[in-house]
Amino acid sequence: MKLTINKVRLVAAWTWDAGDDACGICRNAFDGCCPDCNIPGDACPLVWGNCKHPFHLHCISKWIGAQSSEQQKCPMCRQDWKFEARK
Amino acid sequence: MDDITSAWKFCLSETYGPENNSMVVKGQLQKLHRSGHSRAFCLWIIRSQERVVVEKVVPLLKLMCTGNQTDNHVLHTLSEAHRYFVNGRNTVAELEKIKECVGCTRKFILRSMAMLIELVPSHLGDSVARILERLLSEYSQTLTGRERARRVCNQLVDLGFSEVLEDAIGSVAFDTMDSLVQQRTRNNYEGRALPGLVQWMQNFLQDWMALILPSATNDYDNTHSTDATTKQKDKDGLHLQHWRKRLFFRLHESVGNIRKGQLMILIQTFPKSLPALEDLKDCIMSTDQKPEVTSAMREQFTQTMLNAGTITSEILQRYVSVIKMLRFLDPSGVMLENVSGPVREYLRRRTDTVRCIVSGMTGDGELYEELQRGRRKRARDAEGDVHMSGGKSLESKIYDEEDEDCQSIDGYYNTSMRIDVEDYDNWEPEPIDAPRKGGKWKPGKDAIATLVTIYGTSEQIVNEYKGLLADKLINSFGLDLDREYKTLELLTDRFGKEAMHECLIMLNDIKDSKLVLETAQSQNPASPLQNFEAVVLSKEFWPKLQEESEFKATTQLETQMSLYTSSFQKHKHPRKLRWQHGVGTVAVHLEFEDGREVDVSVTPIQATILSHFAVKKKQTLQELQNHLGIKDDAVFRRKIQGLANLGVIRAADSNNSTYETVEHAGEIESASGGIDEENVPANDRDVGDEQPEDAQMAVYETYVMAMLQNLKQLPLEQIHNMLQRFVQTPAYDRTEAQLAAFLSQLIEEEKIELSAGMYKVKKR
Ligand SMILES: [Zn+2]
Ligand SMILES: [Zn+2]
Ligand SMILES: [Zn+2]
Repeated sequence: MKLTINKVRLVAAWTWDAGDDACGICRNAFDGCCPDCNIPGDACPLVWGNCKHPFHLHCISKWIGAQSSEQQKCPMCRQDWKFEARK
Repeated sequence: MDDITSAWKFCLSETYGPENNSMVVKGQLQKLHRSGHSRAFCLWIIRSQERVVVEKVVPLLKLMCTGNQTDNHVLHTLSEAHRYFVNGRNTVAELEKIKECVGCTRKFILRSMAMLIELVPSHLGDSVARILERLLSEYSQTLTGRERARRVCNQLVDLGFSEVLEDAIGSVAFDTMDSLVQQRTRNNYEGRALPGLVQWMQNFLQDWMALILPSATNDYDNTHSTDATTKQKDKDGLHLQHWRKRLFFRLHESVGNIRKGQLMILIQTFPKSLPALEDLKDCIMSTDQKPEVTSAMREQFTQTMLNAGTITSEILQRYVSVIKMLRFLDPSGVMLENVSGPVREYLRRRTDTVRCIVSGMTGDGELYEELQRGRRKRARDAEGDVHMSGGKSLESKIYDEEDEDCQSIDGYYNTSMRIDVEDYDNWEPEPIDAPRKGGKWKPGKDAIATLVTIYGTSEQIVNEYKGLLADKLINSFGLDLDREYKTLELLTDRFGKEAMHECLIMLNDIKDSKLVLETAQSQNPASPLQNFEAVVLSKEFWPKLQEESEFKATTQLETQMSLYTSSFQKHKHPRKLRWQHGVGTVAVHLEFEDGREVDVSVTPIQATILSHFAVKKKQTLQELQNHLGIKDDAVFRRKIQGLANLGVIRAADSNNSTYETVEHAGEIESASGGIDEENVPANDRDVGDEQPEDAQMAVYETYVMAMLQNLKQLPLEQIHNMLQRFVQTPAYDRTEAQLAAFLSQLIEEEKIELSAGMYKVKKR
């Protein structure tokens, strides 16, 4: 038997690779989007703190925006919040 | 004295009859008058004329009733009878000059008429009707027919048979009309019959009746003053109008009755049958047939369509026609609501109804057009700025939609063809039978809105669409994405943005995946990605996919996946890709030693298995499983079995541990025949004894499932018989044994179960 592959249509799912947990602020799935958005992916990205905790960008922005500047802590571990630079 | 004796002698000897004319009477009368015998003589004359009535007129009229005479003979007999009677009347009228005899004519006429009515058989009316019917057909051609009919009628009125005559005229008019109605409506669905019939009735039939109908009241009861004559004219006018109304009603009733019996044909040929429906609509408006037509529709549809032998998509298609027809017949929606009950109930019980509705809405059929129509309508409304936007629920959007079909149909047959009727004919009461939900009855649901009500809410339909869309997006090569966006837009109009949001994300995923692919392809024209397509899902928005373990794919797939992955991660950093091995499609082309070429679509795992068979045509399952690195035996066996079902590989030993490619197609029968079925363990049957034929048998699954769902349980023989009777495309030509094998496959798939010789749907 001779085999030729003519066409291929494969399926993948994208992920932020942030684990199976949900966002600690909004409880929505990381690979979904925050409550203010309805389009996932680049339109509602994830960010990580130096503490390695990920959040929806919109969620953590709102969170730290509500705190005074000295009190900007990660809502999960209470360490000072710093955006982690990722490559 | 001599004179008197001779006068009496003359009278006694003279034969009475028309010969006994008034001149002779006058002469004798003068003689007797002079001698004082006038009163006795008058009485004698009256008696003798009454005897003429009994002995001449009555037998002639009886003769008329015997029915075995020619038309001319009948007409002649009637004229003869009439002549005797009128002569007698005239003779008696001469006596009015004598003072003692004033009023004797009226008495004579009334007495004679009473005798005639008593002595002439009641079926005189039938003879009159027969004669009139023939004169009516003559009437259309010749003036003589008209004259003769008129003479017959006048003669009968003179003889006092006004009532008999009127009944006869009525029954002739009705019968003639009925048979013309039959002639024009039978086998005629694509043209209107009613307007022509109305015209015939007004221009011909009513004219004829006006000519021959007797006066409303008897002449002899009235004195002839001018005042009385005007009154008489008014009375006759009303009388004629009464008959016009009766004819009008009767015409619409009989057209309606015939159209009512043709409903199934009208449904099946819709929209070509619109002219016939236009007839029916006019009939419903002019008579009280609405409830009858409603229940006829319900009964005919239930009997013809709602049975196990009709596939769901066909029921739906016809039901959509019914919806459109009824919206046209009755814009209030009452008829539709009353017909829909059992249909909805029935469709709700069939499991494939939602799927059929959704594939109807997204395919190329009527429902898709209905979606588009809704959109155009809304676009017009928006332009006209009459409707408030936003804020409205789906329900009210659908309910508020006007009946566009009706308007266009009305426009098509322009109003000049419509019947001009008196006001009272146009009057229509509020629909009292309208189901009232929350106050106001909202008419005019379109086909899609009506189908949605099968389930009460749109949720099931939306979910089904979602599943169907996901399936299509994942598995179809060369998808027409623009068309999918357009369909989604239409559905969004209908069901709301929120309900359709996930579907929009799904389509966007496909678009994004394509962009990533195109960038990757453009960088290298000789890229291995040329025959490759990828679907990258935002998995939170898609239906849950079947999870399957990692496996080691064949080199080509492996290369393609990694190329695509790196392109994606470059553009979408820091997002990553996870390949879903449980889904996806690979189209492969296989060539065998016997020259057979087979094109099949398989899963990526199966394509990989085949690539190993291409290297080595006989392999143990263990070997293969090691190549692919799949741990789960059951999953792996399923994949192998799928390939065996396609007839490209087969078991090469009796315990199914080794498989080989089917290089020569002829071998397949003998090879599977060699397997001793008794020895195949029960829970392992699906591995060994399935034949590729089963794939073709699968088309009957829908029918079998539908039958079992609707008839609860059936024995093998009956399923076999029903398939033979109902399945035409493709015609069912299997043996009972083949059917039994197929059913046992369905049992293994846990779709149905068998107990005590009866098959039924397996409950989950
Ligand atoms: Zn969040
Ligand atoms: Zn967001
Ligand atoms: Zn933290």
